[in-house]
Amino acid sequence: MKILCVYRHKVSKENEDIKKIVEKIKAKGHEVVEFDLFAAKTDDDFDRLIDLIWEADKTISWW
Amino acid sequence: MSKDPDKLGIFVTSPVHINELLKIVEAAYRKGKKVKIFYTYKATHLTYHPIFETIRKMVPEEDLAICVAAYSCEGYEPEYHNQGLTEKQMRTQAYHGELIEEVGKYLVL
Amino acid sequence: MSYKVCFLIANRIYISDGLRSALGLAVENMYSYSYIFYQKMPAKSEYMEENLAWIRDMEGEVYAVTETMDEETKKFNLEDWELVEATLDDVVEKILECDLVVGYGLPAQKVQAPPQCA
Repeated sequence: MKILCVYRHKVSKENEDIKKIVEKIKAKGHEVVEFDLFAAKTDDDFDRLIDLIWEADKTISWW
Repeated sequence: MSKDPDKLGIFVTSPVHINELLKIVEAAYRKGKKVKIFYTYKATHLTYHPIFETIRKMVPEEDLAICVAAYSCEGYEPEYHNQGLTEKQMRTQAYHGELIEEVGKYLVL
Repeated sequence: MSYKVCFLIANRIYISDGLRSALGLAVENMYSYSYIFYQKMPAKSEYMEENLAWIRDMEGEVYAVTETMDEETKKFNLEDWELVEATLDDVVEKILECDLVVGYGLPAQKVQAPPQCA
């Protein structure tokens, strides 16, 4: 499964428990793609987010 | 309502991501996609953000709603503080269920 | 199709409403699971107790991710609220099993809520 992890805040990207969860998902053989929403600024960034959402089987948007 | 694979459902729980929400809606439209948006709880305060009206005008009436129970809980009077929202856009959490049934992709803010 | 949805809730102020939202999907015939991270559940109330009972009646569940909680929080959530204990591994399993994942509300606060929040 291809899973998109969207980080809404910088603190979510740095959160140790979220890191553990993401690593465990990867360890089960799933592909994880990450998107830093907190750092997204340009239209290109948001176009990429839309592409990633449609490419992913599932999107997890972290607090 | 049948499933629309080209529609992105956006469940807005965060009261601090209205700029990103607008950017996402614009990007979705650029990509030929549609959106359906439901604001709940603290995110219903966004009705008073200037960008809220921009988004409301971009999205068909049936594809944007706020949780009216949350709005009331947050102290607003839905009839008076409607901010241009119609009766059809003052909804319950059942709208979230409809959104999930209808959209091809789903994002939480 | 009966969707499976899991709510992940980290911020104290969003717990009650996150569970209300989870119940909203349960009554729409979706499987609704909620995971509380870090924080104490709100003070007991008849409204919240009914919501939890209703979620369970609809084959949903509310879990406490206890490895993210201090002892007092863990005790309150497990004993007073009778939340089901869950590990991060359980969260991973449920994320993979569910059709949709809802990261509800804001991140956890680093500081405890001041008394003025009561």
